[in-house]
Amino acid sequence: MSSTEQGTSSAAPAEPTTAPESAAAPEVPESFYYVHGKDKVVHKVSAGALQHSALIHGMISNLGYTEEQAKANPFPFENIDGDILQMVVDWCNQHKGKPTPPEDTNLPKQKEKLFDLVLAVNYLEIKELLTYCCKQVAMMVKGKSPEEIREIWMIPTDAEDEAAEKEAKKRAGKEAAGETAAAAGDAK
Amino acid sequence: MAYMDYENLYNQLSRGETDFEIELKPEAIVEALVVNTMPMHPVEEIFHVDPGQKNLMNMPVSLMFKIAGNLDPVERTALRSVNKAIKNLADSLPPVFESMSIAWTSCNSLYWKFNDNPTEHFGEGKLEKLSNIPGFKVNNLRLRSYGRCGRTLFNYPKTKLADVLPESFLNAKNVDINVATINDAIQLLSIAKPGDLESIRLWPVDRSEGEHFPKFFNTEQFKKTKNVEILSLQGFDVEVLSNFSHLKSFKIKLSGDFVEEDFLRIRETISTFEDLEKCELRIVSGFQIREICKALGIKIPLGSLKTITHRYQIPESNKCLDFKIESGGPSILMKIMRIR
Repeated sequence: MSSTEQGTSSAAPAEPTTAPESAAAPEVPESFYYVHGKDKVVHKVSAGALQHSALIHGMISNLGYTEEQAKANPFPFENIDGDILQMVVDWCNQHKGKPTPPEDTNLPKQKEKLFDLVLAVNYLEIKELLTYCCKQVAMMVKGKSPEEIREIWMIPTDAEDEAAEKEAKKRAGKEAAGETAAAAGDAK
Repeated sequence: MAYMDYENLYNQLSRGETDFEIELKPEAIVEALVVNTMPMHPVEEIFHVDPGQKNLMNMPVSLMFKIAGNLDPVERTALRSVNKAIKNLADSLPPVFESMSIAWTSCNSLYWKFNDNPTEHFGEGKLEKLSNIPGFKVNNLRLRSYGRCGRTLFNYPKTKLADVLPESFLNAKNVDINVATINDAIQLLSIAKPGDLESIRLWPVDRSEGEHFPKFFNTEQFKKTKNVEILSLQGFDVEVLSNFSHLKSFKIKLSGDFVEEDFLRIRETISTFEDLEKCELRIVSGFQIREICKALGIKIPLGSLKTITHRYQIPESNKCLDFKIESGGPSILMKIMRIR
């Protein structure tokens, strides 16, 4: 398994130091967790950054992982492409502990990537990023004609939809008939 | 080959669908003739080639709603012609407009615009029809009646401004009124539901209208709103300020015959406003920034003075008023924040 570590140097856990007793209590070192997508590339993300994701935050608080356990068992997100997960991790790191701005202009411009990002962010329950992404998807069709919208959002017409549905039914029927015939053959 | 299969092949060819190499390969036709099966229909080829293809229709319904919700009802009209599913989606979203601008012509007919879109809409009954859609709501309503300024006694319309505005416009959160007279402003304001209005902005009215402002301040809508902006309040009198005591924020341009003591009285009056968070007073008084500072007992530095900050401890209270006084042209801008 390949591994890329995404944490910044400033966010790395502090080495224990011998501070005088009279000094103020040392800051609690930040804990890190690990996630991987479909490509199995592991990303190291701080707990602070992961707070953006209600899903991961819930998992962390329910599982009570130590850092070692978390390193040995990265959270698997097999339904998310590696590059999309990388985008999500980058966004969480950039917005760690900061108020989110009203707009985000760094979202992907390619529609396929954007659709993938929307689905991933929805799954990970990152509310603010989902709002930006949905707005960007909507802005793609602002002021466009129905034909242009159909092309941009890759939506079939009603006729195409019906034809596809009819064909799917026909195929399912054929498959079912084939299975029945095969089952009858086996019985013989 | 069965009759239906011949018919399918005939139909495909008669539609000019000859671009299906797979189907017209000789071995495929032979197979079709021998085993009495036809190859996959082109439609199937198109739609089942990549079942994982990402498009809007593959998204969860909640996401489709969230995406389409970013478009206003007018922008969503194009969605209604995309396909049935998207039409249903567009129709099920409530018709809430972020902002709408309505203007009256000199003969009291209306034309209107949505958001920042420059396209003007008009037509008798159309606005009423729109406002009758269940769930119709406008958050920010701009009301303009420029035409009325040029009217004379002879062409004065018999109907009032509010008479031609559908009742559903009563529920706007923020109202921005630009009319010629205080009476027109009151008339438009009076159709809004007191308590629902979060903010009111009133653009300058005719100079002769200054004496009618008390009537505006007495409306329930003004008394129950929390944020007010009056772009020109002529004939200043310190007593006028007491009308703003219930507000969280306000901006006013004050002009009139000021005397030096008025600045102290303004500060004292504002310091009694318990709910106030911030306010801005643009004062056109003939007084310069140094004279105002002197009147307020603020130490003035030597040299040119453009901006000065000053903290005023409210007597018998642990709260303060932070002043930022800026000079600019013929007016002085006084920004005040209440510190708790």
